Amino acid sequence: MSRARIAALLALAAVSLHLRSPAAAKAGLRPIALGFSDDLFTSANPQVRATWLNHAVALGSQVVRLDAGWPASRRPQDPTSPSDPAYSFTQLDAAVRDATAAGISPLLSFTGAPTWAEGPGRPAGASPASWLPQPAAVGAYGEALATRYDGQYPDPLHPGASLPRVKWFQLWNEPNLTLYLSPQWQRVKRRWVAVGPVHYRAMLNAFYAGVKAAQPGASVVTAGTAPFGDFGHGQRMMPLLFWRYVLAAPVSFDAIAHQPYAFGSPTTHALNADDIAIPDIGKLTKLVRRAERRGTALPHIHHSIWVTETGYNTKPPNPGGVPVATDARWVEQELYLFWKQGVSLVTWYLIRDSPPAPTYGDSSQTGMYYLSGRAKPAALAFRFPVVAVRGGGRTSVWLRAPGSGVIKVEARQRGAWRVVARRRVKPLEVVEVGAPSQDRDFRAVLGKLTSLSWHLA
Amino acid sequence: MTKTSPYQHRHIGARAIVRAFLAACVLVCVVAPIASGKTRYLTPPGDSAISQYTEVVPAGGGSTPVGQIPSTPLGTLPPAAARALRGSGTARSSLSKFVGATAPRVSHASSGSSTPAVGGSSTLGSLLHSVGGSGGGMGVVLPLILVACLLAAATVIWRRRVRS
Repeated sequence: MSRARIAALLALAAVSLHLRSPAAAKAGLRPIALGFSDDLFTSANPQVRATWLNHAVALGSQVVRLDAGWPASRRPQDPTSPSDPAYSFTQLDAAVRDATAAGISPLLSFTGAPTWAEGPGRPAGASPASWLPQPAAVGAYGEALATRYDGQYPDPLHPGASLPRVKWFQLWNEPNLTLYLSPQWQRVKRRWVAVGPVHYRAMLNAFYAGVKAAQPGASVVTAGTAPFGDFGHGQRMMPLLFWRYVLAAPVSFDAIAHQPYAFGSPTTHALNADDIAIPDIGKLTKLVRRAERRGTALPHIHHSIWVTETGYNTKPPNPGGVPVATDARWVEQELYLFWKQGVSLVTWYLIRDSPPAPTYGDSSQTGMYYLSGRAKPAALAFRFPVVAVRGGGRTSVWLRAPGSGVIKVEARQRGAWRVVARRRVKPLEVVEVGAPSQDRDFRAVLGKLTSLSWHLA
Repeated sequence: MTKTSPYQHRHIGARAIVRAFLAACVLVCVVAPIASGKTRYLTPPGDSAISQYTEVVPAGGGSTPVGQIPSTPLGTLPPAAARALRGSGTARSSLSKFVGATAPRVSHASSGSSTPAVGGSSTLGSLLHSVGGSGGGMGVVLPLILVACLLAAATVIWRRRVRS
């Protein structure tokens, strides 16, 4: 072997060793977009919208999930035209204008069909707006939405200007619950038929066609499924079973969504095989990849995995919630677990706690801010998540940078914080750096902002 | 005119009982799937907003919300083993919960707890609860059907005896 070859091999070995060493930082990691899902962003009060959009920006949000509703109390003459007088988009226009002006991408989501768009044979006991929404009507409304927010549609309030473009459209909410889509099951000739997912597939295909007809470059997002279902043929279908039925035949979408609420820590797996808790997103990914290979998940792309709602009620104020310090840790851990499982976008449910109306049990206190507007510890956790992980004899610190500059990762050594790694970061960049294995407490500092500290058990 | 043998009454009575029993079986076969097909899940008290996100597991008495599983699975794992499982990480803790969730329920009355049994604190309530259970299935309907069948059979026998 020539000297040159030996030198080249030694250089290659040195590079390999450097890449494997704990101190080496992983550059260019997959990003994760964060944001919120909250009715405050579609409030009729412009001051409320502005306040909470500012907070969302301050917490590093890139997206807000806006409830577009289906604002047509009567059947439109031309349901594909957003200018049909049966539609009323005034409030949504304002929300989209404000979000876009704040530099945040809106994700337009809607659930619930007007009475005229529900299917035939609706029983009196069915949940409002849930009964077999007509796929044709869903598709036409998707086209109307995507047309109105294609970036060229005239802004009715500002002559000569256009409404902003929206590129993400989501169909429905938790369609594995009869609360939102009914029926889930129907008995036909002594056999139980999974009506909900099969009907949702028809709705999704129609919606996809409608949105893409108006905006071929827009992305269609499936509804986020609720995390847990029941045994038998009840009112909640287990999410994996639901998606298995949906993906059994050709169906078109760009991203699949899930909404993994949890009562325990983010690392707690679902007990049932067909339920999907926070660390079980892999079950959904596996199913989607299999459908891609089989050709039923269309188009032929690598479909994204999104989380469009999640959160923990906190105590205070909710007597049944988790302590705010625990909540903060779980927020960081949850974001890390989502990222690790390949989730590319998360919209946290609520930026600010809901009022306890009529009771705490009927409302959600999953916000980053109390109802008073004061920040919870989770706000910092969301803005600057830092998680230390240990595995394979190595310790590493994962974080999402809240801004640009040189980030310092610190470890507590003999009672004092000492810098163990430095790294130049871009805003919202995801970084993972090696850390000394003997240390247990870590945090990160960017300029004057210090993250919460993470204790490795 | 032939005199009816007393044994004939017994024969008719036995036939009536068999018919009543068969009718009860048919009724059970028809009603049971309907009753068990109905999903039964409980929700955390006063927390309707989160009831849609409650996790349920199959238990001896039907589907049971995870939050309502006793933290100490009575009569399934020795307390020391349960403590050890809970103390050895999340997965083990889930296993411990799962064992508890799938174990047969231990009635409050027999465990000496001061908590009143589900279904009422009266003697009749306790009896109905212990006969019918608290989970899925037909509950107290099945024993009521059987009692009704017995009464019907007894009435048929009595009326035939009176007539003869």
